[in-house]
Amino acid sequence: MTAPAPDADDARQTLSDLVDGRLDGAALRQACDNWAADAEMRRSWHAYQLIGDVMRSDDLVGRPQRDAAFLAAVRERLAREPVVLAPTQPAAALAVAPTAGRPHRVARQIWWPMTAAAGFVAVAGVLVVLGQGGVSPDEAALLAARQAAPAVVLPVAAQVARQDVNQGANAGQVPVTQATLVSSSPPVNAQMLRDARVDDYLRAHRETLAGSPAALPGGGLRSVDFTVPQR
Amino acid sequence: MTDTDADAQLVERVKRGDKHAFELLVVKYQRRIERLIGRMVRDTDLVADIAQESFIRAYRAMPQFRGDSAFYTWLYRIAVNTAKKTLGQLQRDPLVTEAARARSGDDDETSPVENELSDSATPEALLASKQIAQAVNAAVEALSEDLRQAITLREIEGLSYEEIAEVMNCPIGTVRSRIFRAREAIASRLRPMLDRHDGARW
Repeated sequence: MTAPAPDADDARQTLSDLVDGRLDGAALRQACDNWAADAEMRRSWHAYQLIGDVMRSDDLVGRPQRDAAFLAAVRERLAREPVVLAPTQPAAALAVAPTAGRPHRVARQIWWPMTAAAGFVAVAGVLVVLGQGGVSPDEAALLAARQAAPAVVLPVAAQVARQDVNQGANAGQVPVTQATLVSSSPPVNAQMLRDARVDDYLRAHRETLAGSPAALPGGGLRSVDFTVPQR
Repeated sequence: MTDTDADAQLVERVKRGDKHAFELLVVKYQRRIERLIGRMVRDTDLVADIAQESFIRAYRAMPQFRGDSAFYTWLYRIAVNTAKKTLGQLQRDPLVTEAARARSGDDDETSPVENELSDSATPEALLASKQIAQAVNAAVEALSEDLRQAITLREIEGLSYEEIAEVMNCPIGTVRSRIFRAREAIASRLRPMLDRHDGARW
């Protein structure tokens, strides 16, 4: 058997680093991309994980020849799921993450003020999932508004679908829009990300609100960059 | 043993929209999750189905995972709940329970539903698994002292690279390299046994 090419050896070393959680940032992203693109990397990741499991417990062998089929089945189902997006690091960190020239939406942090004037703003717990070919952010916000009771607004973690950053052969196709109800919670994760187009929508409707009884002195809703220290 | 730190970065990547990072976690935890579910359910095909469902539910629930517990602990709970829910649904299925009632006796400890579902693991499959476990153990034994110590301290004792460097009195770079070479030495013995050309491909 010929020795593996130096590239392959480097790639496997990186995979070994990944097994032990020694990668972050760009190196981590690259490793995930390589894994997705290269069957040999997937085989090696599987083998390294199996080795660790078996060293700890013989009954963790399972039926390894079936494992590729297991992953294929999960991948197929995952491809139909909306992309989950709920980072716990501040938006500033997100904005600088390079995406190899691929255009991506700029996410901004918005603090929804605790105000009863927000008649059309989503009640805590309403997450809106957007998809390509699905509902636009404007329509989605309107949908959320219609479902909302005029009540106090609490910040929630947003779940926004967007084009999968790491598009490859198995890229997550973002399917039909759905609105998901999620239980609200005290603002541990008080950051909320919204598509920039939602800002435009809000600005456009601020004028409409201004004359209404629901309007606050000072002009109603404000967009403010806000971070809450993580617990 | 759970690698809390090892998972944190992958989890963060998942939360940033990287589905492949989640798939890496699926491959990592599939065996443990299937073993867990296998204690509640005997049929190996049903075990796999419930395991897949558990991973999908975990993916959907990622925004709610805040990192207060280890990722595997959180995944474990989801898997248990998914298994219980599935068994509950099967209990209520009239076709299943009718046939099961006809078979089960009063002394039987397993549930009537479980009796109906047969175990599909063949003796050949069990033997193949045993051989793989033996190959791993033999390969670890065959490693040089340094490589075996490095991989054992990492995988069994759960020490960090820094801690291993201290124990083995060598630079962290050497630890990193030894662990990798140990893995590759064992993996190269396993690869011919793991590949199955008629099965699904990686």
